[in-house]
Amino acid sequence: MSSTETQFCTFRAADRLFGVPVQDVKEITTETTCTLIPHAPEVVLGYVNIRGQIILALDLKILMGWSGSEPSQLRCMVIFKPVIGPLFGLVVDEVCEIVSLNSDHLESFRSGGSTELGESRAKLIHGVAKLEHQLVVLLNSRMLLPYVENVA
Amino acid sequence: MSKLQASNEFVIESREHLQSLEDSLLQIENSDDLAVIQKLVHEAFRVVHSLKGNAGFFGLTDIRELAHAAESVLEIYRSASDRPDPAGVQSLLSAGDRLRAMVDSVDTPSQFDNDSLIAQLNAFLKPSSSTDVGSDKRYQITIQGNVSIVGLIDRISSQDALMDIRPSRMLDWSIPIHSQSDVSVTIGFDSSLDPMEVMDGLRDFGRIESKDSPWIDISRTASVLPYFGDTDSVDVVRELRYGQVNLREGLPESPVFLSTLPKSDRAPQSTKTNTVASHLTTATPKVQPQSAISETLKTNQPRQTTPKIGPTTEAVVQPAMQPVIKPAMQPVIQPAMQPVIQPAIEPVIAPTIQPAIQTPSTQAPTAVSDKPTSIRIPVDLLDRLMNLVGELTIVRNQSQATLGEGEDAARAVSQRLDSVTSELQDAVLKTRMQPVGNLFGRFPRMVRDLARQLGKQVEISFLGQEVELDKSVLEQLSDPLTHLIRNSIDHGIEMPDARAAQGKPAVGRITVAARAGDGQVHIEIKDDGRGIDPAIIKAKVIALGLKSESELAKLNPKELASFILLPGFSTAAKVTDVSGRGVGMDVVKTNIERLEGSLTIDSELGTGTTILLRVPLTLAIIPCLIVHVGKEKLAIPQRAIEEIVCIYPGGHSEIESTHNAEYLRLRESLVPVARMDEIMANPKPFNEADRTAIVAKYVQQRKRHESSIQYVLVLNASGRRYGLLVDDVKGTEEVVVKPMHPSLKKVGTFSGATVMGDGCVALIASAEGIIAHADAGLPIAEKIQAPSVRNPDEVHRVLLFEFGPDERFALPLIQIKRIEAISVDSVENVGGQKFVNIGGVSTRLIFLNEVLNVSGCQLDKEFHVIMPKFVVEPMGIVASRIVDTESMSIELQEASVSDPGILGTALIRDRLSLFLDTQYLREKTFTTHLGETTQKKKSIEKFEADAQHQTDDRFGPSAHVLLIDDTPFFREIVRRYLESQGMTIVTAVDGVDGLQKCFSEDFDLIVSDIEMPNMNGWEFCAAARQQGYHGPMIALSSLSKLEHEEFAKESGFDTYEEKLDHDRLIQTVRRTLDDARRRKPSPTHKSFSGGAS
Repeated sequence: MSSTETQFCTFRAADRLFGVPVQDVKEITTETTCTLIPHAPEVVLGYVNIRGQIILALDLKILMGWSGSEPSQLRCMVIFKPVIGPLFGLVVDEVCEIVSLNSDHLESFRSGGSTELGESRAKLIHGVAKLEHQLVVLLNSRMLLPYVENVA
Repeated sequence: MSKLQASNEFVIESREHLQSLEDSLLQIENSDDLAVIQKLVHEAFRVVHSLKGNAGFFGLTDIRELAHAAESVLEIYRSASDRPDPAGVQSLLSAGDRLRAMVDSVDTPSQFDNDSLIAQLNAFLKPSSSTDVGSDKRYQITIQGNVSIVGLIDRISSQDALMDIRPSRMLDWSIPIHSQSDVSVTIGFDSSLDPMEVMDGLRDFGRIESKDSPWIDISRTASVLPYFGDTDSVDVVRELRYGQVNLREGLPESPVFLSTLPKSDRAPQSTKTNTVASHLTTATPKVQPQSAISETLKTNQPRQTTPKIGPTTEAVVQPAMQPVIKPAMQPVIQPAMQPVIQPAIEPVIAPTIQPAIQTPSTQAPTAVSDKPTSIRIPVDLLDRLMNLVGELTIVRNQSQATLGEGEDAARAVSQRLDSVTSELQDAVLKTRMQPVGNLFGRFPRMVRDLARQLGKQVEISFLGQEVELDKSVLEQLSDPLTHLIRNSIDHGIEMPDARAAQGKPAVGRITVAARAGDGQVHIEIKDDGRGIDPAIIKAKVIALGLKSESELAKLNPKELASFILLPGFSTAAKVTDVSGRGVGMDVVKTNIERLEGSLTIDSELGTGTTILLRVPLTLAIIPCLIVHVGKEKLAIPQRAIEEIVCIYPGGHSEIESTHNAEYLRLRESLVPVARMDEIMANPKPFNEADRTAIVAKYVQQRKRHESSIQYVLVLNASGRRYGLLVDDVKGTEEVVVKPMHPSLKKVGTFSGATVMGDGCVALIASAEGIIAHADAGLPIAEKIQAPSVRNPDEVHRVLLFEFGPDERFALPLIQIKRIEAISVDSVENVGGQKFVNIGGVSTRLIFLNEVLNVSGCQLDKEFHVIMPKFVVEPMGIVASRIVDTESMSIELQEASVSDPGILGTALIRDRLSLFLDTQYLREKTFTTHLGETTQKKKSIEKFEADAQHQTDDRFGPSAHVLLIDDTPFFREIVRRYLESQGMTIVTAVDGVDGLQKCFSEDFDLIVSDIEMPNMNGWEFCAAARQQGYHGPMIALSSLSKLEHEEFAKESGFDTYEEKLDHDRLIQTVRRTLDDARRRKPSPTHKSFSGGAS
């Protein structure tokens, strides 16, 4: 194993594959009850009770700004560690395997070429890596909450 | 302990010291008793000293120097025989302030320039000592006895020698070794050095050990004498003591045996040292009995009390020092000391000095309170505990849900888990509570300074300092309270001559009283100043164009006073430093409301102003109303809710609308209504167009009669009433509040979230946020329409019912025990009287047409029976139809119907309703028809006897009673009760009225309500007692008895009774009068206002 190899937890949303570093993730939950928060930004799906703690659930699809997408159903949520940000998680369609990626395989993300993502969203993406069959978009976990604070 | 922790400890402790210093100094100013002043000066000295020691330990030289200067001044006052110079105390207070500032910014203490302050303090020192202050002073520590400094002594050996060692950080070490077995080590060092460091330096050279009986003397020798100023010498001693050398104060002439110190010192420290000592004792075979030590103690005792060295004692001390010490101490101490030396000395040199610093040690008068019964816990940890308890609650709920049928054993366990969890939650909540006294403590100083600045004389006093509040609430109360007290001083209290001209005492009084009750804490700030002038408010209101003169005329004084809570509204004629800028009261109000609290103002021109704050005990758990809006559950804090109105098709309440607003007609007023579902659906605050659209949408719906049952919660927040329309009301629940996620700070409509019992998350709505969302643009004039000042005690719920076709009757719910539906078949006839069996009790039915002059009726198959409270005999009033209940403030018109069974009438829903007198019904029924039971006979006899004024009853027929109650209904009821006993009654409508009347005639008894406007019962009682009314007084209230009985007695009431309980009230009145008679054997009625008792 090379010293620059990192493990990523990958998950799927709207048929696309995303990943965040495994060490950012606290847990993955399949709790399905979510309380909507009126007046909160669109990317906020709501509050979820995880063993007495109230977790802010962010909708990955809306976060990525795919136009026309309906708010996600809460099926599966990746909850981040407190060092990443206080009590929040990312709602995804399904959680996939953990992959090890060598830093050589990481390509930095060029926002200029993308029409799908706006300028402010570009910061959410750390890079892209190529797996055997498809690309995985690696997210910048620490930028998720700042993004929520700025959209309102 | 890390450096950071250490300095945190320092800051926390120093703040406490400084607070204590300030308290002492303020008391010194106000006290006339020299003995007390002496004590206080000692106390002040002690804390400054501790602070200085601590600062020295942490190397905070700036703080140390200033503390030193303050200490020197206190030192002089300590030995002086008359009271301290007021200017000196003022300087000490300034020094305290500066120290506080320095302590607060301990990381950057050098930003302060203390030279002038220190010079100011030094000016209070006598010239002889201040001239000595120079940079080249030297101190000297002598360690004498059979000691060896290991590592050093090896080289020095036991012979006469003088070593001059100059470690890099010290100017001068001189270690003379005496030729006998005694070794004397004298260390001289510059005053800029911390003696602690010197001791540390010693440690670097070796360890001080002893085989025999060493003692440490800190003194001057002739050779270095010229370098020493007297105070400095003292200084060394004390500094060292804080390095745990444990030398006592005033030591230069009396070196003290180390081992004796812990015993004369205070508990915590002595425990520690003794432990070490006993530990060492076991290790050392040559143990001396305890008595030997205490003997040394005794020998030393007188020295402790000898006057401390003042600047003038220089001449005496110097020659006295060496001779006195050595002969006196050595023989006594040396034999006794041996086992104890090591423990005593080692701490001196060891780096763990913390414990000694934390227990400042003199013979302080307050030693008892210093027992370590409490510990400091980080708030984070408490919050975490709180969270865990929350989780536990949910686990408990889940465990209950998963239990199936027949698992009774498991269910019992689960229920126990349930109760333990609740108790745990309570206990954790309690850990966050702090007494309000902590907050009040800062005000005396502020009051003093402000009063001086304004040239006024003000005295502040506190009540209920022990009442506890959640820490976070307490913190947020600080600013509002400060503001209110400043206002009282600036606006309220007049100049001394103006007060004298009005016949008031020159010293203005401010009372801050805290009182706990029903999950809230009431804090009352009361001054006896000039009060708020309604004329000025009116003028200002008109000037600002808020109201017209005719509108103003309708407002009562409270409503008028509430105008000062509006932004930009100041009645101060001129802007001062203190207040009058018109920012303030509105901010105070906002702050209090943010705490889910409320604020009311009561003011009378010329007599003073009272401001009452009500705040919740805690913000962590609040009682909420759970409502449904669509599919969502919401929690709405109960404090924001005034009432709930149910709206249903065909009901008498309905929503009315103008083109852009919906209103609920609530009794006399129109309350704007917002629909929660619309608010939740629209993230942007409503503008004109939104409101118009919403109104249009629902107008259509109403026309089609599609509306179903809905509820309007009447909210009161930010001084405005607002109706909030929701779909369903689920009941109340105490919820654990979790703040909104930090990334959602912009969402103002919700103040937090909570996990419900079923595990769902419910949002907690913010009443202010909702109102702001619903109408961001309403002009100020409309906001004023509903004055926030409102006394909930004035509103009563009244049951309306009918019997015959012609009349409608009313009874307050407070007088009703229960209502039963009865089938005609179950009525039994016994001797012409009708009974039904209700709850196993044969209950006499009362048909109103038989006892009153009203219409009769033929009963249906089923009818209702209303059972009144406070009636001994089981009886029920028959009603053919229960109409409804109505909330109203009971204003009776007494004269309109002249039937003795009718208390009065009121127009309710456009119909004349008759208020029944249940006591009359009872007497009428049971005297005319049922005289059999002895108990009833007696009561009849009594009644008749009293009525005929010819009884031997001890309180006689002509007992003269003053009855004070603001509610006409209750006043009337109680008046009747007492009049039926043959007493003559004079009534008053509130405390102020009562106070005027109570000296106009001779009253044998005063019966007073508690909750009243203008002046409540407690205040009235205190005032009446103060002004010389000595007769008996009974407090009467609908408040529950247990909670207030004690308070009633404290206020000066003889006893406390619940309203409306006829029999008990009569009994209590009789007993009270009897007691008063007995105290005053002469049977005249006039004796009570005398003043002899």
